[in-house]
Amino acid sequence: MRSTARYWRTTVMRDHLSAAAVLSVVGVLSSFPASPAQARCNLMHDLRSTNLSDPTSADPAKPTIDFNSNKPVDAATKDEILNNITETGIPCQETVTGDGPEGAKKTQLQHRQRGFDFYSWLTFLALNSPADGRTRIDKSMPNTKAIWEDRKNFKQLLDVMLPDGAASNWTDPKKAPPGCESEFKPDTDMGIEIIEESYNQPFKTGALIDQQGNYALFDILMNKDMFDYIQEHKLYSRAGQQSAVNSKLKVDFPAGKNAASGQAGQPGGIIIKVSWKILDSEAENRKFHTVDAVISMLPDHGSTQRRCVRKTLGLVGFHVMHKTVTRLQWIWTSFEHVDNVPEQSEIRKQKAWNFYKVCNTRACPPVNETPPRPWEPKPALGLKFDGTFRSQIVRTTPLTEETKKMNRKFQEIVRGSVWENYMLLSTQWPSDFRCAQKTTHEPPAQPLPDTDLEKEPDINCAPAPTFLANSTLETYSQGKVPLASSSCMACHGNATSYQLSPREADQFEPDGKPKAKFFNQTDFTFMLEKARGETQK
Amino acid sequence: MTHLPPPEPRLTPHDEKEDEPLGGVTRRGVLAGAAAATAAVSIGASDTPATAQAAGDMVTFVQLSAALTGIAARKLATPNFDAPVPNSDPVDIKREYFQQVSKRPVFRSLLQITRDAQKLPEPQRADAIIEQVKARPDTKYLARSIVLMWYLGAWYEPDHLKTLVESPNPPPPTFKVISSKAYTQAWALRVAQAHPMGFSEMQFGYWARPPSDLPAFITGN
Repeated sequence: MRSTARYWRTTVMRDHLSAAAVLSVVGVLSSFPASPAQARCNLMHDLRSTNLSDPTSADPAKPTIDFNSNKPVDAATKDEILNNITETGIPCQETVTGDGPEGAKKTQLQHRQRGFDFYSWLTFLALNSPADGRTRIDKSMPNTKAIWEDRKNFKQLLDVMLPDGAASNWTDPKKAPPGCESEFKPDTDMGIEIIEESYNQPFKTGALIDQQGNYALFDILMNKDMFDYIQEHKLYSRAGQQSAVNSKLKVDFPAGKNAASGQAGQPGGIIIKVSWKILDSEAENRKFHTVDAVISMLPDHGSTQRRCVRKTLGLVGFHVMHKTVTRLQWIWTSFEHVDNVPEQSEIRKQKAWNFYKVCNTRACPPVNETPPRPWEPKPALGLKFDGTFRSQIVRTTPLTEETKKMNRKFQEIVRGSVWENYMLLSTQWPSDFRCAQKTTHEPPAQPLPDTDLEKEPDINCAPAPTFLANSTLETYSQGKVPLASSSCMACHGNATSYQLSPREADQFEPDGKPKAKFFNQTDFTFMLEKARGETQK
Repeated sequence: MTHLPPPEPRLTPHDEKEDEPLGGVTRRGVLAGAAAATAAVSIGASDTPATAQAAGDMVTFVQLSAALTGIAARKLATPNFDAPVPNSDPVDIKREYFQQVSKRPVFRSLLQITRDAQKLPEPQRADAIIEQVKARPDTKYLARSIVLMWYLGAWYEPDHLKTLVESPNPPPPTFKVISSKAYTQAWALRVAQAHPMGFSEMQFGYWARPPSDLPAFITGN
């Protein structure tokens, strides 16, 4: 009788085999600690704890902040949050539950999303807190150096992927960008060397030009846990990635975890990607978090000389990737400046948007279009786009009402500082938690976190939300088209390196399995593609 | 009247935490109804009657779909649909499919067949559902449409399916791909341990290794 069900299914499928044709058609911390053993971890979360000895316990009835309340956040809660952030930095690991004060009125997805978004705000505020490790973020000035801008805590990608594939030490001083040697002030300047990824969006989808005609600029940074792993495995050079030893390496960055039962906490791998707007006026400077930057332009054609330009940059976009032991597919946080672009419902709102001009005529420029080519900045123009084009960008997917409510509360908490001008877009997280914690346990014992990077059919463990795009960092891939629109995990899950296949991968056991596996994957980061030096012939 | 349920039934008691270790489950265990019954009770206790009915209908629809397709409910509906602490379903394709079928009067008959089957010992339920579904042409062809919907992400009208079978000169099959999401979630190629063309959530380079065993695709075990 068992066959009844199988027969019936088979019959249905056989009768409609032709239908199958459709398938063919259609890093923190106040002071990021010098070693993980010293790591402090922020244990706050969206719900109050039920047990003082276990700060990660959660009482669903007691939110840390009542996001539905019209009352201002009380002073005690504000102080508690900001002091906690100043003292303990980022959460080393998320604490989320499938429940909350609104109980069954919200889905589990919404409850957990609130927890992740709370985590994201803590992370954002901790990373952007003053680098002195003492001053609260609500007391910071627009140009106060943030934790992540301090080279003790984070390094820019090109300071790790050095020319000629050289090794480096965490304490190495920052070198001036090429051509900026006489201009660069290491203590106060952000040094940026223009490469294609500095002005062109992922998958070379285009440059972003602000309403003043300047290029938006992009940069990537990593924390010490990331740096140490890259150095340990010589992943900073193409030759290192291609070594025989690394042919069998499964790139598996450290994962963050809170301190527990006598063990120290660990931040785990943290990557930051930022977008900058070039600021032309003092008035603009007051709206943004700013840095002074010296920027090494691309050389003129036929020349190796680089021009250096000095600019004040305003922060307009901020991504954080954080790998944790319970979310081995990383947690993906995205913030941006509130004045960047309107949602569709705001396109008539009179406001000086950074990347949109209000248009009330019938001859409005098309939205979300890339600039005319060429996209490469012309050195003679500094970082002004050559032509009259200005990006006309609209946010395709509006923020959820829940996220907007949370933003209002946190913006209230940092009122009086420029940080009130930033908003969380969302947090993407792997929602299948059994999948998200899956390790291999394969012999020989693998070093922790031993992430299972082979699991099928979904290596991303059901990302929630499915799509997430920052208007300044994934401008041209906003939307909800599977695989085409921006999804942090779905995209980064395909990141690879220069690793070569081990010889044993082409040799087979009697049962047909290869004698060695080849993992040309980079644990959700494209950074390793930027390794320099010679590749093997 | 059938009501459209909320995006995701709430299935967790208040005091359970998400990241607790989970015990093993089987496909048949999925249909055991324990979780579903708990879910229905939980939903019924905490929601308005109309919504509770709709949410209960969704649970039953997923049970029905699991019996018809042979794919675990937790894979059809949400990761860990059957687990003690069920997970979330960010894709939520079940909602689109439910919407596709829920306005058809015959759908209520299918739900009732599924509910009746829950009274049987678990190993007998899927076969019992299928036997009952086959007994009447209207339920049989709507059930076929549901199977094809899950496997192909496309909608075949039940009457058209009947014509295809009964007509001496059947026309070419006609169907409509339900949505781009449905295309990516279709099970035919996953059951083949593969993925739809143009949409893969597997690791880069997966093609160089034998695929994971079938249970990884259809039960998650």
